[in-house]
Amino acid sequence: MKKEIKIKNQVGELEKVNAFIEEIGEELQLDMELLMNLNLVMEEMVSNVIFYAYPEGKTADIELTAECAGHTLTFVLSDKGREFDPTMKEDIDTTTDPADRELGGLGIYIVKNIMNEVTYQRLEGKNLLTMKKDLAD
Amino acid sequence: MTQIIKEGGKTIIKTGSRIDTMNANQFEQDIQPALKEGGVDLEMDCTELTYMASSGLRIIQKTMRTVTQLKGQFKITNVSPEIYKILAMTGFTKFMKVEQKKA
Repeated sequence: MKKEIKIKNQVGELEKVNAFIEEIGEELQLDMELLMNLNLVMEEMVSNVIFYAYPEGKTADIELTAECAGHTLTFVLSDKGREFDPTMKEDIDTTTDPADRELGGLGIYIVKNIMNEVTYQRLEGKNLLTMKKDLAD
Repeated sequence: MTQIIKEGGKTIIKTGSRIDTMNANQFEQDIQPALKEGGVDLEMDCTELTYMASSGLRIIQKTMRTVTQLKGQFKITNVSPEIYKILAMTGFTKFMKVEQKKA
C-alpha cells in the first residue's frame, strides 16, 4: 500500500489529514486505539509545520505519504519551510508536576512514544520527517 | 460542545467529543469563567471525549496551574482507556486525579 496527500499550510486542512488516516485505517484494518494514536501523531506533526515552518501569510504545500511494507507502516511528512528538526526537542520531564513544567514539548513527546522510530532529514531544501510504526508491535 | 454546569460549590466542565488543534482555543475560552473564583472545585467530565491532541493537554496543564494558585481542586473523570494512556504517558495521571470511564 502506498498513498499520499498534499495539503496547504492551513489549520482547516487537518480534517483532510484525519480523513487520510481513517482511509489507511480502514484499508489496513487497524484497531480503534492505533487509529486514534496515528491521528494524534499526524495532527501533532502536521500542525507543527502549519504553525511554524513558514512566515505568516505565506501559502505553501505540505506532503504526507504513507507506505505499508510487511509489518511496518511508514509515514513521511515533507515541507519546504525553514529548517526544523522536531526530534531535537528535549523530552518533557514526566516525573515533574505538569503545573510546574514549561508548556510545550508534549506533541513531539507523544509522537516519539507512539511511533517506533522518528527520524529527521534536511534534504534539497526540504524538511523530511520519517515516522515508522511496527504493526505487529 | 463544551457545557459548564454549576452544582452547589462545584463546577463541572462537560467536554465535547474532540479537543484538537482546531477547537482548543474555543475550549480554553469556554472554561475561563469557571476559573475565576478562589477555592474552585473543578471537574472535567470526559464522558463524550473520544480524541484529545496535545493542545488539549496544554489547556489541562494551564488549568492545573490556575487551580493550584486559587488553592482549588481539579479532577478529570470518565476518561476513555485510550485517552487515559496518553495522560499517563505524558505524566499527568501521577499528579492529578484522573478517573477512567466505567466499562
